[in-house]
Formats: sequence, structure tokens, C-alpha cells
Amino acid sequence: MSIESFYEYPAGVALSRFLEGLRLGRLIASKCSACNHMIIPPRAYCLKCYRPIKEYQIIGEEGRIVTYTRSLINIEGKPANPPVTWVFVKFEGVDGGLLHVLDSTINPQIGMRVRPVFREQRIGSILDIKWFTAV
Amino acid sequence: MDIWIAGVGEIPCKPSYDGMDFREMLYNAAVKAYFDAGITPADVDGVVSSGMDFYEGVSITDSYTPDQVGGRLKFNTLVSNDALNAFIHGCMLLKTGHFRTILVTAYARASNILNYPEIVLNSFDPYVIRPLTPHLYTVAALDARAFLINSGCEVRDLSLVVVKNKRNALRNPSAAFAENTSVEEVESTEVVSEPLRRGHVAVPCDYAAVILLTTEKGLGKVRVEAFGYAVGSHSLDFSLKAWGQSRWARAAIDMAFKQTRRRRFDFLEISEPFAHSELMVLDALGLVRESVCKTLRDGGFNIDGHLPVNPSGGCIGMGYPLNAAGLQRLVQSVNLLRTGRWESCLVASPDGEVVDGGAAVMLSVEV
Ligand SMILES: [Zn+2]
Repeated sequence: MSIESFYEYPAGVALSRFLEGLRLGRLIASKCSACNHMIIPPRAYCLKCYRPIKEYQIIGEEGRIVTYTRSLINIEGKPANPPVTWVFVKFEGVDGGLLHVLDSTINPQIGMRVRPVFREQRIGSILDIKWFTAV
Repeated sequence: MDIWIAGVGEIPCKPSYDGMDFREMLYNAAVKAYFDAGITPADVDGVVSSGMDFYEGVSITDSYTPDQVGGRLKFNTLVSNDALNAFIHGCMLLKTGHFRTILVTAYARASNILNYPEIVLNSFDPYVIRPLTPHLYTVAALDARAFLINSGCEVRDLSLVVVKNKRNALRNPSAAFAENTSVEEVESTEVVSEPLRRGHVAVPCDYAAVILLTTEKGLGKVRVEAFGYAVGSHSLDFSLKAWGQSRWARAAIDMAFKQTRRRRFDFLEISEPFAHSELMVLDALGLVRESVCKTLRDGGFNIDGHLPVNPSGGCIGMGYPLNAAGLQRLVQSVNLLRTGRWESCLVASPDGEVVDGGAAVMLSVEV
């Protein structure tokens, strides 16, 4: 038996700013005006001092690879053909970070400097970033 | 107030209990626990069920549980995440003084789940992670890579964990994946996500376990000396994840250390959905003087080493029963302590394959 379930989650105030940023080809972080803590993806409240966030900032595109893997398996458990390189990227002076895929021609290393490559057609999704590539 | 384990019951791990319903599996485990404890359902004051609706495909697991474990019309509650959390919840209920005997249950029907990677994907952030559709092995591999680089361990060390645990499982009649294997054999399995190979992954299994907790010393077989848990550091979008670290394990053991003066254990049981999970927890616990990989290579974690880890075979040797892994570890620990070979142990279990949360329990027998 199969029961289909349909849900819609609103992205919320902070994440909507992030997704709108992606649509415009930018990376947006939240910044606490009390303690200056910045984080990506942005939050509506400060994780350090719990004050409400009023400021969202475009951050520099350049980040560094914190960890990586080349996956030979896809979400269906079938062989990924071609294999996909995954990276977690952190940005200078900004807490948090982003999981994404890496340009398939790049051989990843921890600490490698990378930047996002945006698609021409963007809709306000994490997939507006095609992948990260070497700087 | 001292808390004791009065009895344990389990059904062996299997890739699939064909034809048997999860309630029937739990009934079989409960009957064994009552027999072991020498009590009847009439002696039980309440039931704590471990459950993850996500895995079970039914909601309100607590409503499905009491009848088959002898808990009908008794106090009952459901605790999410790994089953160690349900066990700790049971201990805390006893410490209120309102209960004398509490029954804790956990089960897994991994064989019911036809699209497990997608189910796990649904536990990740719907905007930032899900559209990318990472397999859980991909996320685990990011952890494994970071751990290997931070710790100086090598891929071969992951294989050593697998060989140790599968060999230990040969002595365990409840284990489904016991094997006298070798590093070469493990490393001949396919790569799923570098550096992880298929052989480094604990295979999900079907399983059920029941533990009876009591404040009556006369019924007690093994003492629950201390417990601790860590929640809240996990981020669904991984933005705050400390890759390659099990920070939860340190926090959980620090909480437990406040309840006991014991700092040394005769063995450890650690739920390891992946080979690196065991090493990451050991690294966070900091119970060995030398580095984790050096101790592993020198045989220090072997069953005859100075700190045996997963003498039961762990999840790699027994099968990974999802959220029931913590109770699986506890039942093995109680059985091992009752052999008379060891006097104390530490049990640790994460709240899922790639979750930065988990719990720890310390057990001892009086000699
Ligand atoms: Zn702040």
C-alpha cells in the first residue's frame, strides 16, 4: 500500500532572504547588530546572543573546502554515473557553511579556495548554484 | 537512589523477520526479559518505548507498543532518537520515586523500509539540503574524510574496525553479520563514497529488545551507575556540524562523570553505523593514552586488548537496528557483564548515522 503525503514548508523570513539572494546570484548571511555574529544560511535570531536579526549581508563568494567526498552512489542507492564530488564550504569571517557539489573537473583538497558558479536561469533555490569551482 | 537492570530480552538480529509483525517481535523479546527478571507484567509500573515514526511508517508508536510488552493500561510514553534516550528516560522516571519497575522497548524493521536513503534525506533541511539529494553515505563520507585527516588515521584503520567487530560477532548468537574476515577482503568491496567502502557500512537489520529497570536491589542484576546525553548541537542543514568529530560523546560522558567516580571501564560498547563512527566516538571520549589509531593498530581495542571495544561485534558485526542500536548495545553489555569476565562498561550510541547527538550509559556489576 502507498499513501502519498503532500506538504509545503514556508522557508521563513531569514531563509527567504537567502533564496532570493541565490536568485540574484549572491550569497546572503545574517548579521547580528548586537554581537556582529554572521552565519550562512541566515537565521532570524542570533545563535550567540538570541537577539532578533535585522541585518542581512552579501558575503564574499570565496570559501574554503572543509571536507569532501567523491560519491559513487546516488539517492536511489544506484551507481552515480558519473561520480559526484561533494564539498562542504566555509566562508571567511562567517559561521556556518554550505554543502554542495564541486565542478567535476576539479580534484578537491581540504583548504582549497572555491567559489559558487551560478546558473543562468535562477528560481530562488540552492540549485541556482550549479556547483563550486576552484578560484 | 540506585537503578538496576532486572532483566533483558532480545530476538536475534536478522536481515528480515519475514512474516512476523513488529508487535510479535517485541512480544518475543518481552517474554524473555520477564523470564530473565523473574517477574510478570503485573509487576511493571510503566513502559518507555523508543521510536522514530520516520523509520516505522506509522505514527504514535507509543500507542502501538504497550499491549505486546505487558504494559496495557499502564503509564506509557515515547522517546525519540536512539533508544539509549528511552532507557535514560526510564531511569529518570524511577528516580522520581513514583515507579518501582519500568520496561523499556526498542525495535527496528529496517526490512520494511523500501527507500531508506530517501527517508533519511527527509530528515535534512528541505531548502538547503534536500534539493541536492545527498545519499546518507555521502554525508557520512564527509565525516569520515574529515576524521581521517584530523586524526591521522588511514582508510586501513576503518577496515581494521570492521575485521575486529565481525570477528567478535562470531561469539554472539544474536549477530547477523559475523565473519572471520580480513582487511584485504573489506578493501575489496566497492567504494560507495570515498573513503568509505561498502564493507565499512553496518547493514541495517530487524531486531527487538526489552529491558526491565527497577529500584529493587533484590531484583537487580546489573547496576546503572551513570548516564548522560547530548542534544541540540545537530543542525539539519549541517551548517554547524563539526565534521569528523563526535562532540556529543564528550558532552554525554561529561554529564555521566558527574554521577560516578569511575573513570576506567573494562570494555566499551559503541553503536557504529559506519566504521569511522566507532573511532570518532573513541577520539571524543579520550579514554586511551595514545592516539585512537595507534591503539587500534596495536590491538588495544581487541577483545583481549586493554580496552575492548564492541566485544559483542557492534552494529557492523550484529546488524544496525536503526534507533534500537542503543538498546542492542545495552543488552549485549548486560550479557557480557554477567559472564563474570568484566565488571564495568560504558555504552555510547549516536542519534542516527550522521546526527551530532547521542547518549552514554555506564553499567557495573558488584563483585
Ligand atoms: Zn548576537
